[in-house]
Amino acid sequence: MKENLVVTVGGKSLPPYFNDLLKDYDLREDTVYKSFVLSEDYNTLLDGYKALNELSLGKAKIESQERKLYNKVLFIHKDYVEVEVQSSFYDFIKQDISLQPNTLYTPLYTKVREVSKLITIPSTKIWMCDSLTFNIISSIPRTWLERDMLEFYLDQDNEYAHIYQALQDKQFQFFNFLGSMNIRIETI
Amino acid sequence: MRVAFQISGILRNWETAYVLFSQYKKLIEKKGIEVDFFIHTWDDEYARLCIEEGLFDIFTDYDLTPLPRQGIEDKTRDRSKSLYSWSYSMFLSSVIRRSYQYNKKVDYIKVFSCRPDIYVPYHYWSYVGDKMALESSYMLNYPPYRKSATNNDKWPHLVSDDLKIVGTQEAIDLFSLNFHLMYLNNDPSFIPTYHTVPGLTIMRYGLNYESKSGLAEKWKILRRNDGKYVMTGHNSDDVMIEQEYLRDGMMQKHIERFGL
Repeated sequence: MKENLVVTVGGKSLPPYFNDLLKDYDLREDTVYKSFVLSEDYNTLLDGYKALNELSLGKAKIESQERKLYNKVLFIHKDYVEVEVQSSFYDFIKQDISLQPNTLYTPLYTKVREVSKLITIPSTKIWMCDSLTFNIISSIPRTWLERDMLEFYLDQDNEYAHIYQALQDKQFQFFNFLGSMNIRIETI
Repeated sequence: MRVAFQISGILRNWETAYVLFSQYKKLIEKKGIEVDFFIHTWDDEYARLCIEEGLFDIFTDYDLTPLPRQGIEDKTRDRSKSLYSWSYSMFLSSVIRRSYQYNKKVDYIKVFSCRPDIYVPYHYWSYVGDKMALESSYMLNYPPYRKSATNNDKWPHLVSDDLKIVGTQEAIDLFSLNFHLMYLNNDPSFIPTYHTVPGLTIMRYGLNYESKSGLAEKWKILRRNDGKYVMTGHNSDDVMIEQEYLRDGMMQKHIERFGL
């Protein structure tokens, strides 16, 4: 068992540069991806999240067998890895540090002013947290997952910025879920 | 609508408990609710005997593993005062249930997590029904616990019930990872002991709980195996198994079969 774990969903391969970045990481992949692809209403982002719960159980089994927790758990949706992430996050992935409990770290986010407050809407494509926080996030009920709730949460300066304009209330649900489970959001 | 029993821990008094669980199953199914039973227990002579006698036929799936010796802290009584084995077995039982769910693609509206030697008062089943579907997510039906730093126990952070935990599927999924939260976690700021583990788990995993509904009512420990008495362990609580559970004569047959 390595110190850290990367959990991936989606059908694409990780770019080669991740090999070096993730040498201290075990890998758990969504193995049911192909069965999802065959269904007509397949949605790569949504169904990737539906696989989280099962992937989390695999993580928990390894930890119980080895009698230790992973230090860091990195989530990557492989269908979106071409999205450019700042180099500071790659450094963060490699660093030997302990993460704060009940905190989600993300390199992709949208800053939004809502209810007289500037809030951080995290990316659903790549984020990191400690093992116990991953237990919480991956427990999200499948019935809560809606096609729209996970769509583009990206920095307003990039090419997807316009999509934010079309966000509906329910598209804040991942953010709301983190808040209701007392999970803080840290940007990298 | 479908519910599950996720049973874990050392197998005791199972000849009597088996009949009771068979009655629970009938009562739940009578309400039009499907129910699956899962158990993880320790691999010992008694458990293997019960399997040979066909007393595991109620389970959809089960698993036996050796008792982890590192959890035993009270050597004279061969038990864990830290709830280590309680916690570990609950996790393994949840693995059995969740693996079944992923294979069969089923969801549960409610999961009952408890030990095998348990007695459910007959009136409790009146609380099990359609209304369960209305409860909010991450909800546990759980007796109130209290914060205490000053009683006679050595490590009294919280005093919470560890007999049974009822909750929505995602709440029990998360609660059942208390082994990771309590025993694999190096956080030096708390210590898991007898009745602190459930309360600490609820708080640290951010779960909801309510104590007012009937579903939150406490159950009793089945400390006798004579098919007649419950005997919870406190003299004042010595009660007889209710007649409603004995009507079909199944208990009497088992008393005769096993010479209880």
